Amino acid sequence: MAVPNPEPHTVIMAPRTNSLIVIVAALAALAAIIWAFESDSRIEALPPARERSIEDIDAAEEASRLFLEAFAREHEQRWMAIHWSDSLDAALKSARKSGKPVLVLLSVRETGTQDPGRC
Amino acid sequence: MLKSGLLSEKPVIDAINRDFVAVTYMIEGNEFPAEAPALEAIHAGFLAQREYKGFFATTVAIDPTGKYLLGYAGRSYPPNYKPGGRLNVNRYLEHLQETLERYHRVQSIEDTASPAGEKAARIKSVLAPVIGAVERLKLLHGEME
Repeated sequence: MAVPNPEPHTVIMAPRTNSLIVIVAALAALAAIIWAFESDSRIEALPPARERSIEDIDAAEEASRLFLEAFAREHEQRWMAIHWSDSLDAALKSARKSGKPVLVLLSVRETGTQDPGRC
Repeated sequence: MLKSGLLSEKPVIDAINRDFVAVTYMIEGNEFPAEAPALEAIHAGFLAQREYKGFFATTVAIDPTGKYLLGYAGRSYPPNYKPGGRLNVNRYLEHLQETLERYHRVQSIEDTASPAGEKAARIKSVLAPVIGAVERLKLLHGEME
């Protein structure tokens, strides 16, 4: 009489497969350690952050001032390319001669207030 | 803002030099120029608008007699022609073109042989959008009060 297998579906893992998993896990751990070490090295390789000296700040302010002056100079020159009349009266006379309308860049300010340069 | 912005743009400079006689005019206090009664509408706006107090700049266009306000570019601050802070050259050029067309319409009405009253009414109708733009500022001010 044949004896039935008590656990016909049990899979028994071969000892060789277990070893393979252990080796792969160990390699992954080693790779992670190496990667972390490399990152630290890269960070250490960066030059240390330098505090800005008074000279640095002065140089930056000077560069900024020069840029703004150049910007204003360029725009002032461009704005001056418009043929501005000397006065409203002169503009009206010129307009009557040429038949063109008058474009007035009008700025209004209350007595005693400063022109904030908006115009 | 206007000088270093729109008035520094080449297409705007070219359009102004081609189609207009340009002038800068600074009004201090209530000293609006007698030779340009067209600016009276702006004067009224200046008196009514709290935002105008202190300082404001704009461009306006008037006819050679100084009688008619042909165009008004709005306040420079907030900048009507810089939506979202961006320079809108095309919008300003359109404004200049509309102003020029308005001027030619006024001229053609002036040149007709119609009765003076009829001419005045037609010119008033042509200029209504400009006066309306200035008036709207007064209305806005009234609503805020």
